[in-house]
Amino acid sequence: MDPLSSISAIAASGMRAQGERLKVVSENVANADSTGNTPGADAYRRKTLAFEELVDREMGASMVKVEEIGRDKSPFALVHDPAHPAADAKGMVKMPNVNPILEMSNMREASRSYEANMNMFEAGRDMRTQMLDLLR
Amino acid sequence: MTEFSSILSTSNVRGAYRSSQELSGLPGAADATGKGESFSDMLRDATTNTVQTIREAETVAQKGLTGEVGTQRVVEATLELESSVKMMVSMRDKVIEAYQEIMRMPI
Repeated sequence: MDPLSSISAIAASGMRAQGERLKVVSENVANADSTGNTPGADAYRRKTLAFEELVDREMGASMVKVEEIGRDKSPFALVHDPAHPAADAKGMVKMPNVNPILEMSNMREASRSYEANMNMFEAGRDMRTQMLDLLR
Repeated sequence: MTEFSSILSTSNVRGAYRSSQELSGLPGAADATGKGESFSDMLRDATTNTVQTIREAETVAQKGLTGEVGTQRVVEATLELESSVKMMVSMRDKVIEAYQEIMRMPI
């Protein structure tokens, strides 16, 4: 396949992957306060995701895809709140292991990466247009 | 004058003219000799691909409106459509230009 056409497909796969990443980040941020509702229950575990190379044989191009969405195994923070429904015998409540600063930097990175792929898409498109303009 | 005729002898001209007649300008002429596809075949293939791209883009746009596919997919398909149509129009312009060039040729 013509390389200039595959650029748009590759950049689009990158944009999709970054969109997926931002979705996971927003899930983590939204669930930053999601605790259990039975005594001693686990709170929300932060979601993580990994990217993987995806070779498209038809196009002969390496795209990107989300390999898997996992869960962060780090321990929960304990907060003393005896009135909470999820409080255990000692009155401690497990809070989600979401670190807002980490999520924010992840968000920034996702949006910058998206922008980079978008620029690549545009550059490929411009090159194709310039090529066609030669015919005029 | 003598030099000129020695460079471009009438037999050379006749030979060149004969070989130009053998060139296949008509559809089917290439098929008969089996020398690959003719110009009209190439044109037909290109048009079929473009029409297919246009149809796909239409379907995707409709699905996008009903929320079946994402915005990004709709944009991709539309840009694909745009570039195919651009290519098509440039080709057509070029072909028409060549045709007009031939029509303007004094006989």
